[in-house]
Amino acid sequence: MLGYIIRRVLWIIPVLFVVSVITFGLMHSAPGGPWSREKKLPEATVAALNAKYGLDDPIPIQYLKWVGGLLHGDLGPSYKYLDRSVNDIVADGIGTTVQLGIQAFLLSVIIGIPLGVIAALRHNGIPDYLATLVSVLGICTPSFVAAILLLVIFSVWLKWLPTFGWDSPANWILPTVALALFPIAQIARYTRASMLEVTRKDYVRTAHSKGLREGSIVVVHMIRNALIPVVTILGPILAFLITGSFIIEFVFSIPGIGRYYVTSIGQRDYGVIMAMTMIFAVAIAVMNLIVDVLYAYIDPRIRYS
Amino acid sequence: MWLKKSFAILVVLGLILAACGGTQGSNSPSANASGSGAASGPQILHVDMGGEPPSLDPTQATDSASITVLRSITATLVYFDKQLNVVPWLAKSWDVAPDGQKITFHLQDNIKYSNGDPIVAGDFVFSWKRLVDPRNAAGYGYIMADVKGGSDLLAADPKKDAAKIDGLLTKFGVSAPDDKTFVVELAKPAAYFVYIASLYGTVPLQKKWVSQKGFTEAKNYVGSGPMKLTQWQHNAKIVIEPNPNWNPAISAAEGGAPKIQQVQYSMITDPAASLAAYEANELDIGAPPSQEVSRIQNDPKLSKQVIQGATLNITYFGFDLKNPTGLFTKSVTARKAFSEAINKKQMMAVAFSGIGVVADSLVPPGMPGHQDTAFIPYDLAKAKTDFEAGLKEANLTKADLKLQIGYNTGANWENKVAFMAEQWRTAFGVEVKPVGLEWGAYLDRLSKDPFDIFRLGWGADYPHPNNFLTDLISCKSTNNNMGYCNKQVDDLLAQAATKPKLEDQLPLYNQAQEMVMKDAPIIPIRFGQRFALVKPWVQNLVPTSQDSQITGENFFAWVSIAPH
Amino acid sequence: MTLSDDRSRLGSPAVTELPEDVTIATEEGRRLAEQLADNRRHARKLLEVRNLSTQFFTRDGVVHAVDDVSFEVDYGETLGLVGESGCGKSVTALSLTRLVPNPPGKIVSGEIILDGINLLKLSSEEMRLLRGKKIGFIFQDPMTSLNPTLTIGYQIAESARMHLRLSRKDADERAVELLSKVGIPRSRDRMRDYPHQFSGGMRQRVMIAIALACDPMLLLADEPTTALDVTIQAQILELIRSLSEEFGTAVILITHDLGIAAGMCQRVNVMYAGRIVETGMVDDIFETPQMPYAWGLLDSLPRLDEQKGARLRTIEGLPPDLIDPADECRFSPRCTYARDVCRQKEPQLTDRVGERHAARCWGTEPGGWIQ
Repeated sequence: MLGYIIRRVLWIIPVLFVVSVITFGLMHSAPGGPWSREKKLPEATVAALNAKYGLDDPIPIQYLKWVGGLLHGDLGPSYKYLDRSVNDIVADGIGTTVQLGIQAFLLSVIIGIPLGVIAALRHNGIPDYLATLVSVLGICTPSFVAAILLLVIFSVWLKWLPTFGWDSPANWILPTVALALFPIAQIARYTRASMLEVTRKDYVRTAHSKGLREGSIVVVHMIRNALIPVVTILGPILAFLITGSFIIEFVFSIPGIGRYYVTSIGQRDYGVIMAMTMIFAVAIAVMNLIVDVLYAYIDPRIRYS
Repeated sequence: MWLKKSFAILVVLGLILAACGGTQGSNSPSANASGSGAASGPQILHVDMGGEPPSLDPTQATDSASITVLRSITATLVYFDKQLNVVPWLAKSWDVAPDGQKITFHLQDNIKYSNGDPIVAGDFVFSWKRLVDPRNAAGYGYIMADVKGGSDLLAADPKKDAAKIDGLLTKFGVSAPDDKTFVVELAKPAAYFVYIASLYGTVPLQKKWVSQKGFTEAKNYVGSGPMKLTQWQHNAKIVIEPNPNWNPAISAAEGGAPKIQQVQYSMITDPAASLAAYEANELDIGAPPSQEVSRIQNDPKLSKQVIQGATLNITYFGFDLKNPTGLFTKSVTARKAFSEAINKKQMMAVAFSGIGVVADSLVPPGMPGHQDTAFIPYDLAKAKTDFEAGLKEANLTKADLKLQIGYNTGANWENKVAFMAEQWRTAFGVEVKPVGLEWGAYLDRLSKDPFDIFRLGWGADYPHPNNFLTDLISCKSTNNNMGYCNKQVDDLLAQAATKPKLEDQLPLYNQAQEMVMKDAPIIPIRFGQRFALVKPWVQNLVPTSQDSQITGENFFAWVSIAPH
Repeated sequence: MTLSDDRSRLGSPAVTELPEDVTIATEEGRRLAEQLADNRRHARKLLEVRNLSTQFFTRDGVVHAVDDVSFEVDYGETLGLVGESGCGKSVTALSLTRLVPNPPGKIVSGEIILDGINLLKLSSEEMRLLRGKKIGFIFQDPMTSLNPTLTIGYQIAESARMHLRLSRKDADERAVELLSKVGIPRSRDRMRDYPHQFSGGMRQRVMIAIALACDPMLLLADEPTTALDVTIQAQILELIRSLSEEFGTAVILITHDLGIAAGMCQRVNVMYAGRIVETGMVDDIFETPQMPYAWGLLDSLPRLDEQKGARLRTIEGLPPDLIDPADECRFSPRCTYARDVCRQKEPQLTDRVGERHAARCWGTEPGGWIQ
């Protein structure tokens, strides 16, 4: 298992290389540049800016310089936040983004799995219909719509919670819920389907034939097996939490790094685009690895070597 | 929204702005709160600056979010008062040499930075050279172009000409004969240059401070304005508080020492969320997105909090005159036809939620040189005949036309462009295909190969017709994406620039504008209008047509908050 | 408590068994224990099934999967329940433990009296306490009947902990003993293994260990060897036989293979289309079968004296649709001996020559046309 993990981690390196080359190429082939303005800068100024930031080098040289910086832990300058390095920007915001992601992930697991289990156990009953309704709403509602709705209801109408910022736990509630809605729905849906599947399994019949308590059949025999397919969607869900955080951070003005990702693309802030892409690529790769390890833990039939 | 989308509105104030009205409560008798102790609640103003400011380095900043803070935490040689006259600020007076090529600024006594150090004339020399130095590649370095030696420096290549730059800097026409005197030598007569000295890029900078790289953290930041930066949580909020070293005598007319105890700038990126924050009383000043306008106007409570007023900018559609075979290059009559076919009044109502002023010329109202004349009025019948005439002029048939209208996506231009395309379809039976591009790609396309018709905007750097004519429409202007070039217009503009007095300049600028409108290189659509929300407890707010990000931002230091 | 301590109790039929062998921690358990003790004084049979009908309510109609079935099982006896797939034998077994999936299935009428207790009158909680405790169940497919995510040690010990109130440690000890008893070598080491680490035959041994974990009075073995290789089959059957003898456990062996029933059982019930069509001692069934369907089953057995390469005979046709069966002999459409009477009225299960021998056939009744 350890060997497997080490190999997977080593595999991240070529993946990052490919991702970085593609991103770098795409980014520089997109028309416009960091100095594009509605009110144009004089050409001499643009030339001076390009010279200052090395943007007048050929693209491959720029790439190599960037890689060189990366290897020394230097993510380069931001072309929008002129006085700040990408390192500063990332250091400022990454903790917040990770916190938001973890909170939303925990919430979606804590709500999603029981919701799915209850729906399956009360198959075609009222809890099932309620849970299905929640799932459908959660899946169909884009997170920015959900975010604005939550904002209007809980902040504008009820005035219970603040509309923006990240200073206090009260600030955390709405963004976490908004971000978790889709994963909750997704996990609940998968859990429900998986539980219904498991209900028909022979080993559950065996468990019943052993005269076990209903509760322990559900907990010991059904949920763990039902979670196996659910674990497979955790990878995509974690990826969603990352991309979803872009929108949620935008709507709730959360000082994370996700907010920079979208704006940096519009502003051709190359350094930030590259850094965000790398960070999120690493995050997705690592989380997929964690999911795979978890998968082996939960399903003893799977062994990595 | 226009202001948010446009990257930079470089603000110079100085001229009297007739249309800067809409100054709300501040004109009411309750304004004299000072001394009476009426403002007893917490004196904290909550505003939204729309996002992390790219830079609070006055030399580097180019955008409205940065400006809105810099206006309070830095100070320039000259400023403007509530009536928008140029007034002494860090300079108590200035002399212009008889030949108009030299300005001598005399600094106030007892002026200090927020760290307590005195502000000396040499700090301006350092700051101005820093701005013009090509190695710094300052976005708005070009405002130094009129200073002696400035254009040489701006044209210098920081790599190839590296050896020359230091030499050029020593020849740059700024000097400090003593700590209280700052002298600017100009390359040519430019009477308006004193307004450049109100630009935030020209604020004094301490060499010591700059070398400490103190622009990114509040604890290091040394400012020169009435307020000082006390907190900067990146991407979250900025807090400014009164600068104890500010000499209240300088701002006696504004109310002396700052009244507000704290201004908290939040960085809400989503306009809808920003409005929600305003409605939840977390913000005192709101800038609603255009799609919310009608709801606000119909809301009994919110509609009372609306303040409106002119802003110095224009939305226009340009014609591509670079394509030698294009209809619009070949026929001025066709250009006029396309302009005449647009019912701007209706467009304002349906596509702009009624916020804005129909534009029939280039220079906006509130700026000297504005001409309240519909040069090319809406006239469907004339449009039709002009269109046919234009086709003949260009020797083209309707079938030859494959016209495109370009716009940038993600900024609600779709419905506006569709409105225009529909008007042309009805008038001429011609399809003009809307093409939307992402912002960066759009700008790139415009500078290389513009669409037949394309959307753009222009905002005032300084409230002078020169800024809307020479800088936008002259042959050499980099912002002239149309490729329009009329030597006669250029001659008139050059002539106007030599006249020292505004009243002598204006007839020439008017003549130039009339000539431009006759050539119809653009379809002016709309002059900007502010649509903001202000809580009733915000007192002494001074909105101006120069506000770039937040209504009243130029005078936040003297706002007070009534108990609520 | 270990298995060996318990041997004395396991060895004899539990006619006068003590009530404490039921978990009595709950109110239900206590009542059940009292009822058990009372009933056993009068009980003759371990199990009496009377007029059991189990139906499935499907979109197409009501399927009469088990239709008015009555039979009994003596203490310690091994009874075969034989028939083609779909004849209702598995549903019968599930009905005995009230594990018929509901919906769509439901026991609509009848009585199931186990050790003097009418199972159909018990609350579901009381029934649960009997499952695994009094009735052990071995299912057909050992590949799917074990939980893939739990160690086999856990799965065996689980019911001992539940029903016998053993501590985790004691239950594990018991599981180790059961594992060696069912013939799994290095049983202590293999406790921590998961089902996928065992072969099919080994898994079925584990299933048997689970079924016997609480010394049930009755073992339901539903096609226990169908999914296994022929060589393994014999081992598993032998294991079931020897353990049931050793523990004195009665067995209902469900199989489609009359040959297996012949080797294992004292008595056999032949089921067809939800009905018992013939019942009797195994010798009688083999030597003087009284129902053409039973002959068909016998004919389809491979025989040692059969020529190599000769095709096994099968019964032509398909079993009838069990939705609204007509009043006729249900085998008559496939029966080569059928006459009009067979299609007009369904015959009753009537006695035949031989001990406890009965058949449902007009043709073999006294005076019938089949001899």
